[in-house]
Amino acid sequence: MNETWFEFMMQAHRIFGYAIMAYVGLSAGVYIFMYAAAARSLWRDRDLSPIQYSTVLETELVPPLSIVVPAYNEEVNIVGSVRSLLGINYKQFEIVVVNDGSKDRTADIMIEEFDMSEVKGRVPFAGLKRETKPIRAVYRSLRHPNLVLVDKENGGKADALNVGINVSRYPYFVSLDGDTVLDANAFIKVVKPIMDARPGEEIIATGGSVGIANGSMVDSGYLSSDNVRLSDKPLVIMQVIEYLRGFLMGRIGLSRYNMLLLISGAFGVFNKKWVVDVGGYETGTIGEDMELTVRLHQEIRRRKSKARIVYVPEPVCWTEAPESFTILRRQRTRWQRGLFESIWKHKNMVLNPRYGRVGMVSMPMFLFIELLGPLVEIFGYITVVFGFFLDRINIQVSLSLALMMLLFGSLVSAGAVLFEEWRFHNYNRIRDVLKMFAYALSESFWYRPVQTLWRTQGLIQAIRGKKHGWGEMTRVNVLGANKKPGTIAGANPAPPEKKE
Amino acid sequence: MTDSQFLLVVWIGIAMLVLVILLVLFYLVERKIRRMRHREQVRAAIAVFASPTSPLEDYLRSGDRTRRLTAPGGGEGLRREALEEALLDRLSVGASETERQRIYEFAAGYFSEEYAYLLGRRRWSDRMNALLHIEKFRIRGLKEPLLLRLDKLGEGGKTDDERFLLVRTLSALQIGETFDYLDMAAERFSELQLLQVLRPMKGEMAERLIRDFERLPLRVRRCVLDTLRLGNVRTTEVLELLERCMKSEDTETRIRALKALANFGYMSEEAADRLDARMAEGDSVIWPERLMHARLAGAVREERFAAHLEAMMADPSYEVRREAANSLSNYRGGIDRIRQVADHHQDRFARDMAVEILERRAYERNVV
Repeated sequence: MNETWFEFMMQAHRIFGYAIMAYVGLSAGVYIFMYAAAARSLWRDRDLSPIQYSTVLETELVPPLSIVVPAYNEEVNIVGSVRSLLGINYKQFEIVVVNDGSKDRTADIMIEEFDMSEVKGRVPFAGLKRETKPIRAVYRSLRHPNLVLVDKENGGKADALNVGINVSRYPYFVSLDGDTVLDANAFIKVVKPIMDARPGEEIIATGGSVGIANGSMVDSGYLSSDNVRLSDKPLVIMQVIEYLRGFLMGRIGLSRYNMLLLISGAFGVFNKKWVVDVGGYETGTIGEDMELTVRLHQEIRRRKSKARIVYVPEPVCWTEAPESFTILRRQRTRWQRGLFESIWKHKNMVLNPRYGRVGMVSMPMFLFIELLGPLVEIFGYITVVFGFFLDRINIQVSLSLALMMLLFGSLVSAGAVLFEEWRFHNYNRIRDVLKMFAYALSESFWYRPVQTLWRTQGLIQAIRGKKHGWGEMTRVNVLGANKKPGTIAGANPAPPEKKE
Repeated sequence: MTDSQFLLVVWIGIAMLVLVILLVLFYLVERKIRRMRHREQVRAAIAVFASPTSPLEDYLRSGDRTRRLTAPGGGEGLRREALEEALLDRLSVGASETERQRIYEFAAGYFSEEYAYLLGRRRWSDRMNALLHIEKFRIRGLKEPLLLRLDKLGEGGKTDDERFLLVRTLSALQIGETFDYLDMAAERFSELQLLQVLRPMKGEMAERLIRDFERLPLRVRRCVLDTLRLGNVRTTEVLELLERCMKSEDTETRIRALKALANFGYMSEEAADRLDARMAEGDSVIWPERLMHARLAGAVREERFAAHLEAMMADPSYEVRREAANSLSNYRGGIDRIRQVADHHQDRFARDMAVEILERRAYERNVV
């Protein structure tokens, strides 16, 4: 009996071993492919002059945009945020602030500050079929006719965005996340692919890179490349590298083959008609941005359309990264749950040839590498330990292989730093670059294992059906502008809640 | 493969990875240091050019090119880059017309050779940067290299960015050959790109657009109408063209012509009759066209359209209602008519719209 059991264990271990090796080989292959695609594109565009934007900006030909700003308990920041948006470098736009049933004076302060008067008649209605929480009133600023405030009952961020879409006037809308700090030319950068779409080709969503603002100097809600600095905190530096890798390497390749599954909620431009046709944002999910993008892909396939979802490598906005392990852990487990939700909801797309490359490549990639990757990694470690006890492992070979994989991971991260330097050179101090490089090399030894653990936890939470607890929207600290409370009468500055 | 052989392979892999990582590090640091040093020097040179006693300032003031400005010497590339940036800065902060002409003249003499060389480079970003600068500095003398480059481009979609920039540059430089590429442009360029090509056309080029209008591809024709509107061109020829396009069979052309006419603010009696007849057709016309009818009626302010506008305030489309109310408020006695609508109209949407417009007008009166 014992012998049979042992035989079985050996056999199982052998199969596991091969499966994990195949997995590692395959995912390394995917990374190398993405790396090559990104390198090719960024090498071509390296050192391209920024005057390409100034020429377009000077014209009145840019498509008009509706900027939807969801706000919840934002009395401290909302006026500054809206002011900085009103001053954006763009010819034609409207701002739709959606007050999501705030418990503070967000709506009152907007009304007082911008001379807003209630719109009595019917307001534009985009025709979104999804039910939204009731709108209490719509106001338009008498001083800035392009500023609208929608006061509605609390329903969460996705619901607020849906209402904003319904009320918006223009064919393209921008969704902004709470703590997003914009690049001064963010709008023109993201809109450029829409302007350059070939006849018959429709760009239905675009998004750009998101950078990390910690340590940089934000001026009036904007961050220009001269003011970008690298934080001194190791955890933040690791996230800077992670973002660079995720955006510059991951998305360029996916975008090139129209397989992009995620336009970041921090800043994205969407074609309103398409979003309305697919039913807007899904309420009650964590990853509403990814979920929407996946549904847009479904619709593209259904219509057999040539429409595209495009990523612009340019950094268009900056966000504040968690600086403590506790908050970062919460953020990452939440992201993992969001990823699980999006994939689970659209599981019929995975490996389904009807959905083309999205079904055959990017969905499986997100499922097997992004979602299940951490689990496989932990299984890998367990397999090695078991192998050791079963005496099936040559320690020397195992350690050497592990070292090789660690170095490979570090090289990928170091490559991301190089890509940044080719195309954007935002980090202008040698010290910063060396620091990033050193941390990139160290990633595999401390940051990655921790991430693996958290992501696995997130996955387990998702499988066990943990609900994300936001009947109310998380605090939106819109654009990080005018963080100082102050001149607004009645504003009661509250310590910002940490965004999960 | 034995374990030791496998181990050897793995170690070769490790050694290669270490080597590549070191190479990346070396390349990264070397590139960064070189770039930083270069940028520092360029910044210093720009500061020198910006000082009131610099030869550049001297030239922009007097038009006299001193030897100090053009003299080649050490650090030629650096000097060129600094001059390029200093001149671009000057252009972007609103140089006077004389200064502009001097900048263009100087750039044509100083940068042409370099740009012509860059246009032939293998590196894509070099060619694109050269094109952007040629366009900014209006270097007409580079017509031949531009045409040559355009003809040499492959047919594939990968060259479309460059093709577009080349055609836009030709147009910005007022080079007649741009017209030879409009058929290709209509097939390959987006509408906003077409507008970017058409918009800079001036003088003879712009006249030719109107003269040869019927011979242009449909997509280009539509964009020409937008260009005329955006450029506020007000000539008899343009008016005739717009009124002719009001009768076009292509809906899009009609809508754009109406929009341009509304911007023009005037139309002939015959065209007004046509508008009158179209407005009487009511909902059988699609809403974007109805919207433009309302806008045009508001711009020409002829009494016979007022009744149509009043009727349009009960249009099923919000945008049309708003436009109609806006237009009617521009009429003599328009506000009174809107008030009547607010009080007595049987359609609730019309009443609501009337209230909204009245409120806005009241606020505007207070502000003014």
